[in-house]
Amino acid sequence: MKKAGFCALSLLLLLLPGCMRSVQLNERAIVQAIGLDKEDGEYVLTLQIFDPESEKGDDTSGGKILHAQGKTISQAMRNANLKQGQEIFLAHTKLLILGEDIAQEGIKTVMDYFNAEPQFRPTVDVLLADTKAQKVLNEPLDSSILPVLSTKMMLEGYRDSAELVRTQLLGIAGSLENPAVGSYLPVAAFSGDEKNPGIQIVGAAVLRDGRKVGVFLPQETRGILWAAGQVGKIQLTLEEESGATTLDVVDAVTKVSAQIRDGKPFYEVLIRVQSNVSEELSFVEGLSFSQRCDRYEKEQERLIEQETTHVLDRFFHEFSCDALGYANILAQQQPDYWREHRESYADSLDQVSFSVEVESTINRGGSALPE
Amino acid sequence: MKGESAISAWQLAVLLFLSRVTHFFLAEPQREGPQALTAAIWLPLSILASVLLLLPAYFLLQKNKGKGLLDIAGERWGRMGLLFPVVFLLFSICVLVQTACSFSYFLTSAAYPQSSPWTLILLIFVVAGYTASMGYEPTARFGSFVLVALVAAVLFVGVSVWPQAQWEFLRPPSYDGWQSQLRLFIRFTLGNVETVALLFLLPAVNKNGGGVFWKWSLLSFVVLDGIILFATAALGDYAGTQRFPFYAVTKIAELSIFQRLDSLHMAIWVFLALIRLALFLEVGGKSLARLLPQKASKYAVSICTVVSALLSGFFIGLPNILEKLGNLFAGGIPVLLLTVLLPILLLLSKRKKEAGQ
Repeated sequence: MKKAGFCALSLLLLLLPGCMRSVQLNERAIVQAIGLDKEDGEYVLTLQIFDPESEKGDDTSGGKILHAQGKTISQAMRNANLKQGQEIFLAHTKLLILGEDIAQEGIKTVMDYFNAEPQFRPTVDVLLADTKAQKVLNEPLDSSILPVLSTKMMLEGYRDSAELVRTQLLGIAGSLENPAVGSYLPVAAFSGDEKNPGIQIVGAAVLRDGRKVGVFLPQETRGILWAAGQVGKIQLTLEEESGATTLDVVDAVTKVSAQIRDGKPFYEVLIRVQSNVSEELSFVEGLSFSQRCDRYEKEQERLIEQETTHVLDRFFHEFSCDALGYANILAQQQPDYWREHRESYADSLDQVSFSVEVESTINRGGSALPE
Repeated sequence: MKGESAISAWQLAVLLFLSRVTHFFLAEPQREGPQALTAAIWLPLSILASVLLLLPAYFLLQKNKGKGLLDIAGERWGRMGLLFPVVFLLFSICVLVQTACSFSYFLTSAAYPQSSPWTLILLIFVVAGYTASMGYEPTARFGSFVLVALVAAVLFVGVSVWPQAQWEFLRPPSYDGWQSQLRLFIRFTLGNVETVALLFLLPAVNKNGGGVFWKWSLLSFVVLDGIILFATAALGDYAGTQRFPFYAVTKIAELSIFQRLDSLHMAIWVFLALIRLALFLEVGGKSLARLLPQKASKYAVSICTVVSALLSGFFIGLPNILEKLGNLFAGGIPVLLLTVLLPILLLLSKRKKEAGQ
């Protein structure tokens, strides 16, 4: 009797293959990058879909572009699904590019959609297109377009040269949750021609309440990174009258402390930088390597202080936007002030003051014996 | 009770700890957001407060070694003593319904939006009912494997998110005012439903039952504080947009070639939910067995499983009632009743009898 019961129960297992309908790999459209624009009140979705059959088969090439439109993003996704005939799979998306129209109108609803989408990862990189997102993603793939991985590698290159502020969905959605802080997004533009398409970073957009309020030029981006404490291993070129010197930044730490001075927030920004001398074209007769390093340290301090001050000044006094999230430090270090002023903080950012101090250390001069 | 299915102090401590972690993960984490540091400080203090609250029950069990609360109530109060199994049964069913609905809600909102909540509830109760029917010891052995997996997962997440942690999101305790600190303290102390399971299962520990509380508290303090602090520091304001912040942390955790391991984490959380359900099915089943005729008592766990599954399926469509139920538990009244008031009444009734003699 027990054996019969066990067999009957085992047969029942055949009815329980899983909680959901199974989807085979060839039934999925694996999205690598998403472009989103708004035209005539409708969302225009551009999906870069991984398609191993279209190219050589390695994961840095091969893909196709799909366009769909809808009153809402969900409807556009559904329409893409219908067009494609495969299930749209967003879990491997690496890049989300938003069009200029959306940035002007406000990105909150768009971020809400992608944030709530279970397949979408919080670590997806978010970019802003200088005009249309579809223009950046739209070139025909069969004439060697921008497959997402090479685009990502290109973005890494920009980061290494401190011309890109990396922004992920996680950071953007978080900043939209906190009305006291803003955010920034790298601005991408299509460059090159049909034969050699490319993507170029042309600055960083500043967003307040999810809307674009200004843009930093690429040469200003490094200042944002110093102020945000996001500088990685980059190169700094010091230009003096005697010539140029390149330093490899090996470590940079930014510490921000919040104080209240004259009843207003005051931020003390301390940046500690360690660098190595990579290349010297500015020999000064009679100076030892140690003495030259002292000069480089001072010059490095001056440059970083100048770049950071400029960026903070624009953020607080030109855009009235705390995109660096210093409000969180104020809330932590001055809780009493924050409790009283949290509602009015965002409106009084032009009264915020700050100081920037840089401590620079030059460690060594490479493997060659310095002269 | 001992000998029936005896377990060690560590095994019970692990079961209680895993059950508590599940509750934090499924039902409570979003409440910790703005006051994570306060929560991390109040957690050990709530453990000390629990010690004071559990003293009457501890004395009662010490005086009646080898007996459970239901045995003592039966001896002291006769038929009135059946109040104890009734209350424990109702309490367990409420915990089971809340856990199963939260579990189903988590899976259908965070992972499988197209799956039916009913199917998930049914499946988890089938497995949990089977686990509970095996007894404490097999459940505890399974729990030790889950503990290893959980600790490994938490360590992995901790190490991988450490570089991107934003410690400025940890606000000082004074940030939210004393009222919210008091609410938090009550929730940690009296909203801790595992205390009820501890009192119920303590007599099943083969020796040194007194150490269970401290072992359980140590595990809870270290791991829960780690989860609360890391979830807040790693996510920052983003935590406020997430219903299940620690799950969001697992989605961003990457270390070397190990990326996108949220599915693996989800498997661990399914095991945790399973253990919590099995634990309270045992409590509910053992309580129900006291109320049924002896012949029917062997089906108590099965009946409890079926009833809980049906109620969970019913209440999954009534989120307002589930929220009220959650608030009732967080308010601490049910735990206060079962772990403090009823044991005090039992103690007093014993004194009366002794005085009469």
